Amino acid sequence: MNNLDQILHKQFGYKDFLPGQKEIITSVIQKKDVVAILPTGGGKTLCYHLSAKLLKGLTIVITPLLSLMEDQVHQLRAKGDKTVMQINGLLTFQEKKRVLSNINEDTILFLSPEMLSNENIMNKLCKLRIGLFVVDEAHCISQWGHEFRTDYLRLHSIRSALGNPPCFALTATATKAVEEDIIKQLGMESPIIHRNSVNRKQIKFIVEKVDNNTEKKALFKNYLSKIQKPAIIYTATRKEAIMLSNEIKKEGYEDVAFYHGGMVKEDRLLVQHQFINNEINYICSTNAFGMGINKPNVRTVIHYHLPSSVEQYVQEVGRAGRDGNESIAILLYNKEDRIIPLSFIDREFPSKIELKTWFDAMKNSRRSEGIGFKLETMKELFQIDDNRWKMLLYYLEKSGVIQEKELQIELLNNKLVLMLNERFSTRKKTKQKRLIQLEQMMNSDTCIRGSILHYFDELTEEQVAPCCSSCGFTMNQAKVQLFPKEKNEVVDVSNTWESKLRKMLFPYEGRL
Amino acid sequence: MNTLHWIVLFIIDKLNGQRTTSGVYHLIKGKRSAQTIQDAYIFHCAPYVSSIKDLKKEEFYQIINELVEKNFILVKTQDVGVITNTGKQKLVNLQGLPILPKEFNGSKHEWNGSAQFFWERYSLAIQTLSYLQHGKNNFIPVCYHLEVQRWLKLLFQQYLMDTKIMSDNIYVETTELLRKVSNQHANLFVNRLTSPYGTGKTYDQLCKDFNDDPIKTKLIFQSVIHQFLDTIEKKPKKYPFLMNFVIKTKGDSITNSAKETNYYLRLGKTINEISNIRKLRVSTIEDHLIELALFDAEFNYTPFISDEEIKNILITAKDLKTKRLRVLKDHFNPTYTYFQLRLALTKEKGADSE
Ligand SMILES: Nc1ncnc2c1ncn2[C@@H]1O[C@H](COP(=O)(O)OP(=O)(O)OP(=O)(O)O)[C@@H](O)[C@H]1O
Ligand SMILES: [Mg+2]
Ligand SMILES: [Zn+2]
Repeated sequence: MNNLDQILHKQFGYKDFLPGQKEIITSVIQKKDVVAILPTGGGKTLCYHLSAKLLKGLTIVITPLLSLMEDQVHQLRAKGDKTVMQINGLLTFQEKKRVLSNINEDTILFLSPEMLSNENIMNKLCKLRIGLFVVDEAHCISQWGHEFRTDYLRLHSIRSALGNPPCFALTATATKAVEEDIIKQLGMESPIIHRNSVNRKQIKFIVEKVDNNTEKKALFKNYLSKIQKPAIIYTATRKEAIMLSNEIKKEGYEDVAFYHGGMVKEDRLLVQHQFINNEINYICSTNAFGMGINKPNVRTVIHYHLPSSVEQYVQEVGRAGRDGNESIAILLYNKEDRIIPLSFIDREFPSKIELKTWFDAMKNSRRSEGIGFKLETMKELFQIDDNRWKMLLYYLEKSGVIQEKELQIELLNNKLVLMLNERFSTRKKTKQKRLIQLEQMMNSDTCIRGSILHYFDELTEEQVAPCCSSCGFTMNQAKVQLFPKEKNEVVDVSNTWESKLRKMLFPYEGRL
Repeated sequence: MNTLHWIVLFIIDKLNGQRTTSGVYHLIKGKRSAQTIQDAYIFHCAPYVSSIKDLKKEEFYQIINELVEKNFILVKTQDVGVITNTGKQKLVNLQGLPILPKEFNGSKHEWNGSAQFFWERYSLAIQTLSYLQHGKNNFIPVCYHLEVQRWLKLLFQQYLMDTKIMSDNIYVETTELLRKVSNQHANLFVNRLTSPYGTGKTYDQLCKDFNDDPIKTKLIFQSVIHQFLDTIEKKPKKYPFLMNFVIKTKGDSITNSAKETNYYLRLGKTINEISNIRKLRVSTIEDHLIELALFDAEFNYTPFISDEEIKNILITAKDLKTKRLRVLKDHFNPTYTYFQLRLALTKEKGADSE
C-alpha cells in the first residue's frame, strides 16, 4: 500500500479512491497549480481535504455560497476534524477576531470571497505560510459560469498578495471556455488539468413537455405517486416552492417541507437537517438548495421549471444518486417557463435609466452633504440589492470612478452610463443565450445525456442503458428499489411534552 | 388578514398618524436606535418592539399596500400612515382577541436579544445533552454560532462534563417552567427541540394548531420564552441551572457606543467635547443620551433641560395632541432644540405602565 492509500484509509476511513481522486491529489501535493474537473458527487472535498493534510502551511478554501460553506465546515467538524474553521460575513467582529487568533499552519480555513477584501484578515494571513489556495465550485469565478459574483474577480490579486501559494480549482461543470477563464482569473501558471467526464451514469433523464400549467400540475401529481423518495423538487420562485409543498401535502404526503433563501436561518437549518436525516422525504426548493449539498440517497430530482443554464441543471440534478444507485431526474417543461428566468436576468443588471438616476442623485447629494456623504446611503435610498450594488461598485472601481475608496464625482457622466450599460447588455445577452441553450437542449429529441456531454466538450463514447426519455426510457423501466426503511425512532405524537422531554434526556429509563 | 397584518394595522393605529411607515417598520423590526425605542414608549406599544425581527422591507411594504387596498389605512404625504374608520372598526372587532400573547414583551426580551440569547443556548444544550446521553458523540449542531458553542463547552467544564447531572437539572427546571403554560404551548416548545429522535420542527410545520399561521406560532413560541425569562428573573434561586442561560449584563439595552459616551459624560464633558473626542457627529452623541435617558436610571437630565421645562413640553404636547417633533418644534421655536424635545418625551415613559 502506498502512502496516499494509507492516509485515505487511516485518516478518512475510505477503502479506495474514487476515480480521478488519486491523480489529482498527487499533482496538488507536488505544489503544482491544478484544475480538477470531477463530476457532482465525485469526491472533490476529499481532494483538497487530504492534500491539505500533506502540505505544510495553512489551507485557504474559497467557496461561493454561504450556506454551502457553513454546511461543509460543520460536517467536517462533526466528523472530528477541528482544524477546519471558517470566516464569513455572518460572524460578528469578535468571532472573526477569535478565529483569526486561533488559526495556524495546520488550519483549513474556509473563507467567503468578500472576506478577502477585509484588511485585518489579509494582514493576518500574510503573516502565515499559506500552503494551498483552494477555490471550490470554481466555475463561479468565470464570467461564463453561473452564480458569478464580482468578488471573485479580485481573487487573482489576493493570491499574489499572499505570495502566490499553489492554487487548486475544483468544479463539476466547466466547459473548455470556463476552464480557460478559471485559469486566467486565478493567474495560474501552466496548471495541470485533470478533466473527468461530467457524466453521471446512475442518473436517468426524463423530459416531459406540457402545454400549460394546469397540465403541468396534473402531470406532477401523477409523477408524485410513481417516483422514489427522497426527492428534491426545484422551482423557479419561492412562492412556487411553498405552493408545491402544500400541493404535496394535500396529496397525502405529509413528510414535505419547502426551502428557500428568504427563510430565517434557524428554520432553513432545521429543514436541511430533517432532510439529511430522512425525517422528511420531499423538499420543494429554489436554487438555494443546490450546489454542494451532499445527501447520499436522493432518488429523484424534479425540475418544475426550466433552470437558467445547462450548468445549473447539471449541478441540481447532481444531488441525486450520490450513493451510486440508480436515480431519476425529471424536467417538466412548458414554453412559458422561460419568462421567469428571463425576467430574473433582466432584473439582475441595472438599466440605463437606473444608472442615470443613481448617478445624478450621487452628484446632488454629494454637493449638499459635503464630505459626510456615504456611498452606502445610495444603496439604502434606492433599495439596490446586494448583488447589483456590488456589481456597480466593482465597475466603478474598475473604471477609476472610485479611487482609494473616494468617489470621483466628476467622472459620473453620460459616457460612463453608456459604457456600463454596454457591459451589462453584453452580460445579459450571454445569460439569455445560456438559458436558450438549455431550452433547446430539452426541446430537441436528441439524447439528453449526449447533449450535456457535448455541451461540456466531451465526446459520447459509451452507451448508458437505460439512458433518457429521448432514448426511450420511461418511468415504467425505472428500477423500483425497496430500501429498508431506516429506523428513526419517532417520538409518538400522542406523547405528552413531558414524556418527550424525558425521553430525550434519559434514554435508559422509562423502559422499566 | 393574518397576524402580521394585524400587527401592522395595530401599530399604525397606535402611532396615530404621527410617524412615517418606515417608523412603523423600524418598530416592528426592532431597529437598534434610540428613536425606535423612544417611539415605542411614547406610543405605548413597547411589547411590539422587535416582534418580527426578520421582517423584510419588501414584505412590509407589500402589507402596507394590501392594507391601503382594503381601505384600512391611508398613506398620506411624507409617507405618514393613518388608520381609517374601516380599519378602526376592524381592530375593534378584534378586541378580546389579543394579537400578541399577553406574556410577549418585545422591548424587554427581543429588542436586546435576550430571548434569542437564551434559546440559542438552550436548544444547543438540549441537543448536546440528549445526543451524549444516547451515547452519540457526532452530530451537526442546530446552532452554528461559534460563540454559543464555546459557551456550552465552558458550561460543560463547569459541571465537570457530568451529563447526567446536567440533564437532571435542565429537566427539572424546564418542566417546572412548562407547567406554568398551557399544554398546547408546552408541546409547541418541546417540538422545536432537536434530539436523536428528530430534528426540531419549523413554525410552518407546527402551525396547524395555531390557525395555520406560522407567524402567530412563532410569537406564541417566543412568548413561552419570555415567560421563562420573567419567571427565572423573579425566582433565580429556584432555577440555578437555567440562570446560566440568561444574558448576564443587565441594562444591556444600552449599546456599547452609548456606554462609552456615558463614560465621558460622567467625566463632565459636554456633548460637543464628546463629539470631538469620539469623532462622532453631535447628533449621534445626542442619540446616545436619549438611550441613556431611557434605560439608565442614574442618567442626569439637568445639564440639558430643567424639570420645569420638561413639564411645559409634555403639557403642550398633550394640548396639541401631538408627539411629532416637527410640530412641537414649530410651536416652541426657537425656545427648545430638537434634542431637548426628545429628551422631554423620554419622560413619557414613566406614564407608560402597560
Ligand atoms: N474515496 C472515497 N470513497 C468513498 N466515498 C467517498 C470517497 N471520497 C468521497 N466520498 C464520498 O462521496 C460523497 C460526495 O463527495 P463530495 O461532497 O466531496 O462531492 P463533490 O465532488 O464535492 O460534489 P459536488 O460537485 O456536488 O459538490 C461524500 O459523501 C463523500 O464522503
Ligand atoms: Mg462539493
Ligand atoms: Zn439518452
